[in-house]
Amino acid sequence: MPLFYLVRFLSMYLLVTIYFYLYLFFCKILKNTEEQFMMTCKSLALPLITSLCLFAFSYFSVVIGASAVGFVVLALSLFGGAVLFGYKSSLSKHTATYTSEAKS
Amino acid sequence: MVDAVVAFFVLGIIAQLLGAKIPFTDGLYKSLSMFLMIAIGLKGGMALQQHVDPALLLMSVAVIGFGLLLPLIAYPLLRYFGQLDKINAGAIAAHYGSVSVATYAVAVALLEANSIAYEAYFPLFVVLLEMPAIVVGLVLAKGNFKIINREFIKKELVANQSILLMVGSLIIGFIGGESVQKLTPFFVDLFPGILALFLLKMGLVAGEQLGTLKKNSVFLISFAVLMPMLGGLAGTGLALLLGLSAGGIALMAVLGASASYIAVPAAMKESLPEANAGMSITASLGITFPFNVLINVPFFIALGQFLGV
Repeated sequence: MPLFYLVRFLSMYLLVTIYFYLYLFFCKILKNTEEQFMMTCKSLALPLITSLCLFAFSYFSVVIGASAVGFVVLALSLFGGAVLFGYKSSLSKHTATYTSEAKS
Repeated sequence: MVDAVVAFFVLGIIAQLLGAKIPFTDGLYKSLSMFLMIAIGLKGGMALQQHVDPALLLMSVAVIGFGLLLPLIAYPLLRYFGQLDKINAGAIAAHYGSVSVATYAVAVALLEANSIAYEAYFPLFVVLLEMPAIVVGLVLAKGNFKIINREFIKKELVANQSILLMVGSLIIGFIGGESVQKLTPFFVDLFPGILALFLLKMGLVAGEQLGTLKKNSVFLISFAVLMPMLGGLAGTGLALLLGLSAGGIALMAVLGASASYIAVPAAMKESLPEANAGMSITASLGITFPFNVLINVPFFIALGQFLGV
């Protein structure tokens, strides 16, 4: 039994760690400048926290015998949507910077 | 399996997304809201008459404190992560600190469908939770207490439609005695059907709001999903402290998770006209209400049963 709880704890810790590094990874690839890195971090922070909470709720749903499907689908959609939105806005900033440099 | 009453909400969203023209007049919608508020108050008063609890006064103080706390959780999230100004952050925080009568009605319908008992005095808690968040939201938005004057108290506390109807029918249900039984065929037996119609309209409105989500940031969607989870957990904690039953835990969590889109928008329109009403309504009605009705309420009912055992 203690081993079972240890495995559970470690898998949750692993999930949070993977999430955090994914978050830093996406912030790094979406940034254009160091300044935009902080802005991107901030804009991705709440979707990350929310999707993590949704995964936590899905886990507890399984424990208490409720359906976890809604939470999991929403968590994946939210994080994916946030990354896509961040990528699109960083792309448009990149294009705007290139256009203004070309004009000058 | 989806509950039949909740399925009407899904039908409303699908109908709106498909562009079906379902005629739903404003007058019908307001009549259905009035019916729900009166029915909830009346049922609560009738049940309260048989189960008067002396500890109710202390519980009421705790519930008011809970109502004051919720906007204080929402406000820093809105200011720091959303970079919103004080006015809009205060307005949205007020929405999420208050309650949704429709979400409460759905939770009650699901509890009764599953034969899960809950405390009779919950309509009183619904009424008590309507107002504190509005006061806190306004104070946070304005940065001072000057907005809380006699006219505000008279307009928003005494003459507020939701509070007047619910408190009034609660009192009628409590003091009416045998004569209240004459009203049960209409206000009690027809409650699930009227709620289904009301949810159909809510589905149509939520479907309409989904269209405006494209224009709004990912932040608003994240906040509108996170805050009900945090509020629900806070409500669960309060319910455990108060020693409520399984149904009571579920209902308190649902009250913490819900966001107002009837009473608070009207109050904000009067007291904070400079706030962006569209953002608050999109969050509370377009995202939080469907999330609560379809996912959160069944979860908190299961959680209540798990913790209440």
